[in-house]
Amino acid sequence: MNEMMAHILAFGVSGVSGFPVQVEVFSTGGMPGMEVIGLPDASVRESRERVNAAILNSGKEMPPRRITINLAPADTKKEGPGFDLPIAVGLLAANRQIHIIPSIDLSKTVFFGELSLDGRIQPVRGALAMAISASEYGYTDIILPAGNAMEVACIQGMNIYPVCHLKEVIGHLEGTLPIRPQKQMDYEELKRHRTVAVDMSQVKGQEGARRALEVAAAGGHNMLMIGAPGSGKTMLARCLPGILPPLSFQESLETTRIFSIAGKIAPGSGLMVERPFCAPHHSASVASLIGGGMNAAPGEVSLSHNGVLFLDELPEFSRGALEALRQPLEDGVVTVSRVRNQACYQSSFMMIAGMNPCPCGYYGSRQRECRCTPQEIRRYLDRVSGPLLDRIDIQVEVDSVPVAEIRSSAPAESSAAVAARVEKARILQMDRYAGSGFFCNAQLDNNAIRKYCSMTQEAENLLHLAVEKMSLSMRAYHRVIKVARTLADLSGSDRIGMAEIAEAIQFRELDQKYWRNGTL
Amino acid sequence: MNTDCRTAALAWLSSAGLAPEYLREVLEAEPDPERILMHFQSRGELPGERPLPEKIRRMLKKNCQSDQMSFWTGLIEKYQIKGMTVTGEDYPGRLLPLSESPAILFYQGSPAAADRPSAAMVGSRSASYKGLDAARRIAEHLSRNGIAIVSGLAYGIDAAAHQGCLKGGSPTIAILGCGLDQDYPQENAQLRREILSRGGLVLSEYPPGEKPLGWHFPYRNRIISGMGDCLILMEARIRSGSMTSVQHALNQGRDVFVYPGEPGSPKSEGNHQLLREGAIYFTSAEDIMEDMGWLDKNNDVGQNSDHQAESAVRNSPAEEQVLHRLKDGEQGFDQLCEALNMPAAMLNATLSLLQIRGLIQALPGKLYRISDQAGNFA
Repeated sequence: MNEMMAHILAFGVSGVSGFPVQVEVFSTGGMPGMEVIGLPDASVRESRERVNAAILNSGKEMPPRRITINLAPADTKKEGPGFDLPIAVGLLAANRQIHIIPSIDLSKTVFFGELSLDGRIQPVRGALAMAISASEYGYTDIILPAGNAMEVACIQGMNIYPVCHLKEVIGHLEGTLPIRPQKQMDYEELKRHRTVAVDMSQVKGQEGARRALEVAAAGGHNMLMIGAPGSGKTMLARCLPGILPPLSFQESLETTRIFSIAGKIAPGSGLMVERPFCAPHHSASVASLIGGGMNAAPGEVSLSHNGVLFLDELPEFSRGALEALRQPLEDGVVTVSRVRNQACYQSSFMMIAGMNPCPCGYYGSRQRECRCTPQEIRRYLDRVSGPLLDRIDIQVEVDSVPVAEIRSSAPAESSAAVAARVEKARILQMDRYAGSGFFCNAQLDNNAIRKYCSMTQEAENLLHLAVEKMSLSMRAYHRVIKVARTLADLSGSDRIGMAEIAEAIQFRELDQKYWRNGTL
Repeated sequence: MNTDCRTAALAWLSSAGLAPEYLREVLEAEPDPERILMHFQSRGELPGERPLPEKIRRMLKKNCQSDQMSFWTGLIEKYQIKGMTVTGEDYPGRLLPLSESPAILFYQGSPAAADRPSAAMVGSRSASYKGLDAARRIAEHLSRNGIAIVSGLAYGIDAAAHQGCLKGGSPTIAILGCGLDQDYPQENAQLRREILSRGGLVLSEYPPGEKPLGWHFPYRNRIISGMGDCLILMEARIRSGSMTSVQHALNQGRDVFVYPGEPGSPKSEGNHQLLREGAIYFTSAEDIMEDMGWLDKNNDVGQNSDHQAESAVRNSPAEEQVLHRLKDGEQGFDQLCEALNMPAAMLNATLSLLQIRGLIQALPGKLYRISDQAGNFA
């Protein structure tokens, strides 16, 4: 019998982007069998069996022929079950089981999806990355699992055909039951349905910490909270995504893409609107924070891209893990290199750290007495001093709220009210830094501080007096100015005044009380 | 060089673990330690009546060999250690009448520090923040009135007592439980240097090279209590070294002042027990000075007037409100916020301004209090 050939377009994932893969199916007479070549990994090679069963369960046949499936380019490793669908379509086409109507241009149509044995199509990882790349390559149509449809629904200029079963694909290709392309979603529409995970109104008391949180959100400042166990550090941190401005479309694409690659998007959910909140346990390894594994998968710093990375029990993290955070904190990207892969992930996040004031947690607490020796406390605090502290603008103590107060106090201000103020301050910053490469106060370097943070004479005098009287370090000095800039933005004033400097000094309280000689 | 040889001879004499009374008899029979050494080398006996136990004789014999002697001389030279004996003129008069007074003392710094009125201050190594703070304040206040503070250079209350005393300007006396060549505890090495550079005195009854062994410390506590005209207990658990100091002080006939700790806190259980048993209650340095009859020496002027000059700056209404609230004792941030009905932003700013002017102090646990008149930003 004569030879037959089919070409189907698929996509693979490398790092955060997709790359086109030509699935070539060659069917010829001879000893019946099927071979997949082109550096498939085990899950791709296994697709033979899934595809076979799925085709039979979709009312088509697999004639006994010799079949070779090549995934081109042949020098790149292919992995994952996403190639099931293109392979199945290629087999059907090469074996003349289906007759594709001419209105479907296979050279512009991308297929991906995992098949189950009964022919149903399952969602795959990295759908958003593949769809974005496909659109960049100029492909116009995507046939993908219905479970991934929401994820890619906001991409403009693409016809997206969500499918649930191989039969639907066959019907579409043969023109007997054409599928209508999915309606493109408006991101603004999605944003309107934003829900806040933890609302600020649930936080009782904690006026000082609430204020610090608002300031951190308004300026994008990293923050360190010190407080006894149970004082509400985690709860406060969880409020942060809700008071940050919602993700912009671009940010959402970036973040959702990383989540999609990590396989962390629930089937059926769309672009992320809420900023991500990652809280790795303090036993986390360097690889799990930064990214790694055989295929250089994204780590927590990338999963919290455009969101919040919460490190509770900061001193308990291994020194290596804390040191490794410095590059992403500085550059907003991490490059993860592994033998088989190298990937560059975005990782610009706000770091919120929580820690106890001492190993037992009750130093300075009114509720319970601390039983640590001064050396123990010093050793504990020393674990975080240095370069990491340099990157934290706001330090605040969180005092535990007595139970009676939790019951009595009236409902506190809601996240929405705080978020409105934060957004206003952020807009001021965006306008001020337009074209300079910065977008929030936390990013300013010393030169930019000089340029953008003008203050009144009396504010400057006060700052110098504070440096002298409270023995603030030079690094604290610059941080105070940055935070004061944010405070001025919150109050809508152009120049930094005395009140702002004075308040900003309060956010260095740990420098004063813990990391200074004398207290211990 | 000559005094170094004499000190080395004292190190030799105190190295065999002879009881203080025995050594006192020896020194009374022959006050010159170098002669005692020669006496021993020629006759194998120490001067005096008492027979020498065989074990000790062997020990002394071993230690008077030249390598051990040059080891001591080396340390004595390097660390500028000097020695005094109970028969000498520079020996602190306060220790003389005590039953177990050390016969030999090694010292660094100036022995004149022991001439002024002094108070021994003791307490826990792991004291509460409040205890440490109070110790520092009271020591400083006493020191400003010319009273030397005696303590043990341990961490916690001891270190706070020394620091406070240094800040107040009087010399301070530290008594160690190891040879003076050792920096123990390591963390307080800097403090020790400061004590010496500011005319203070560091004492030990142990010869150079002696390690800080656990049993030295309760025994050395008798010297701490003995070197003070009174003993001030800041914070002590029931079973603690500080309580042995109190026992020594009572045996030595010293007044014992006990600071009232937090009721119910295990860290000051010892205080409360002593107060129930009739120890002298005090809350301020004035209380101690009044009871000890030190008030007439009051030369506490300079700092106070400074402080008044500073508070002459007009306070804003918000500052007045905060200060008024804090008059009744320390308050948390949230308490202030609620009581004054002041937004957090404004309270933050107000607190900073007050802190910068030294009118209030921030404490761990987000607490604030009026700073004491000493001015904590000196």
